[in-house]
Amino acid sequence: MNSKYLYIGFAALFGTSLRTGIGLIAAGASFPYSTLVINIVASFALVVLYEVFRKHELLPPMVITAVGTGLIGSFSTMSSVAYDTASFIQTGEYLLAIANYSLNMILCLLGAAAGLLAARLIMRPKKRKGLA
Amino acid sequence: MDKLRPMLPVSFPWTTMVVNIAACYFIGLINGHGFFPAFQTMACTGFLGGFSTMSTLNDDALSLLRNGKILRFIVYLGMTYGCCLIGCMLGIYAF
Repeated sequence: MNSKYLYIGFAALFGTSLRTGIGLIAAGASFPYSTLVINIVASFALVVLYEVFRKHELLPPMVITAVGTGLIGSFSTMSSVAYDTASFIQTGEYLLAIANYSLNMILCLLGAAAGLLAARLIMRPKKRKGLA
Repeated sequence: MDKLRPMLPVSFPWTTMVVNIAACYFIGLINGHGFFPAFQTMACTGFLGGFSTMSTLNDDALSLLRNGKILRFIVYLGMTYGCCLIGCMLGIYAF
């Protein structure tokens, strides 16, 4: 159904606006901290969404897609990371370039792994007291 | 993209990778050369920023790892990060 793209697009409005807004708050810093934090949070959130809500069918598929691909997907960004890194290379700030790229790579992957751990903790079967 | 997929090896997140690399090339192209500010914001922060994704990238990578596809995991991350940066620089130095 083509309405899927409408929902994704609509959710993407919020993700993009949120990212831009946070970026504006943190504007003027010498290092793109906001992009890094946004990407880590998004990586964590997407895995939690999939491993808790999608896997256990707690939300309808359309909502999962809209929130996952639309909201979270557009909230996170790879192009900004690449462009900021390329800018650092252009200005000769090679250390910052390496730092920006590797921090995003490592911390976001760890964020995703943390999301998996969190999902498993949340969905862990609770022990019942009393009758077994 | 979906028409190409049957030809390609399965279980590799080609779509995400191609999307990310393309977005990085275009942000290099647009931001690197400068257009009038409204278009630049709309195209770069707006469209390309939303089009590219870090969250799906890492979810894909994690899935590959969990399914034991270690080599694909390394290739996926290596190619994505490598080609994204190269693509971006190609865009910046395009003309």
